[in-house]
Amino acid sequence: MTFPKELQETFTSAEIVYLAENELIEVISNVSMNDKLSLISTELPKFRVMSTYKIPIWLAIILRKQNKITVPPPEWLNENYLANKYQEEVTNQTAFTQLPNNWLEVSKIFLKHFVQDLIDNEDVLLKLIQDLKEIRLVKLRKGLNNLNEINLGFNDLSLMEINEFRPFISRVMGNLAKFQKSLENEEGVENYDDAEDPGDDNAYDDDDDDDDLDNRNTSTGGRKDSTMAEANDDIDDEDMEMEDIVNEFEL
Amino acid sequence: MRIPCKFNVQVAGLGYLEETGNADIKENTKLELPVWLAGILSGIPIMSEEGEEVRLLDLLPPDAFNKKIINSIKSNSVNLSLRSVLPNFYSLAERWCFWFEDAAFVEIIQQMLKDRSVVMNDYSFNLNSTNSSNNDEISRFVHSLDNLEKEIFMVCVASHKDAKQWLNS
Repeated sequence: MTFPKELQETFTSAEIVYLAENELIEVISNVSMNDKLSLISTELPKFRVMSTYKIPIWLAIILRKQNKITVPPPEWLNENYLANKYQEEVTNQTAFTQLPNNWLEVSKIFLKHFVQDLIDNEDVLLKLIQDLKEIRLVKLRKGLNNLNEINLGFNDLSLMEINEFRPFISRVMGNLAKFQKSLENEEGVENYDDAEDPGDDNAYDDDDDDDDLDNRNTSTGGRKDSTMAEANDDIDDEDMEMEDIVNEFEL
Repeated sequence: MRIPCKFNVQVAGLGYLEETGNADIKENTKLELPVWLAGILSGIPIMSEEGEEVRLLDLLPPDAFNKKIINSIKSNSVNLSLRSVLPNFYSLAERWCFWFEDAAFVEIIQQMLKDRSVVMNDYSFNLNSTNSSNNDEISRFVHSLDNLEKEIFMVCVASHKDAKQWLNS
């Protein structure tokens, strides 16, 4: 494949925003339409003034620019809620608080395109969001001390946050697994030729991209548990309950 | 990369490996062979004159895995300059584990990789900060990374940079 290697194994932030823009949000129309409008990928319902509709974010961005709709912020995007979440994050040192799967992307989109419709001060919101991200990052970094070659679970971590750490973690875990695998080779020296070439950087198995993608597609803005990284194909961690992973992963 | 080995039997016509001008390699000759060659040769079983089965050659532990270095890995792997020990430390270590299935050794290497990667991740965050004393520390650490770690460090820096740029855009 001609795709650059760093783009093959993970998303860029821009790609995740692009994916998040398919999410449906509620909008209030300012205009009336004579008929519904069929687009290639979606359908714009027949708008009536002051009624609410659910449309994809990308469409809302266009319509908002033309002042045809107003976009009320989701219930979690306000000063009170985020400040509470921040407090929760500070007091609970062992887990992440529950936030929507794409809270970072959506709040960023709101601050960029729907600023006029926000109820609270945008600067205050931006600061809260950055604080939240910061504190979650610190927790995540602490959690990295528990890296092992088999599995790693982060509950309530959003796609964007996982994405930032995916290349790093999958590499480290892949290499840990390689060492583990060298122990399981029972034939010893005789089997030498069949073994993977240790110089091959792609030898590890990174199939977690697809999981995260599924997460996004099935999500309706609610919370999602995201599992990251399954690096060793000999060890099947599918059977492992989420609870077990959480217990193992004490922050 | 070459690793030391010891021939267990006399081999005719392989003297050129030793570069001494002799036609044959004598029994118990110690020789540094390329990793790929040593791996293949060590897997060849030979019937000795006494009727026992021996390997053509034995692999000897390379300098990079001597006691002193293993001990310093155990005590403080983060401050160890792995690059000056061996630029391809992990690659050779993996081969070594593969040949000898030494569980204790694997555990030491894994623990080292874990410890060092946590520090790598921490440093990759503030790579571009203006704090100069910190930068010295970071550059010293980066120079101690072996090739595999360096690659991990690079992707780590790239992904954090991308996330940071997006957040501030």
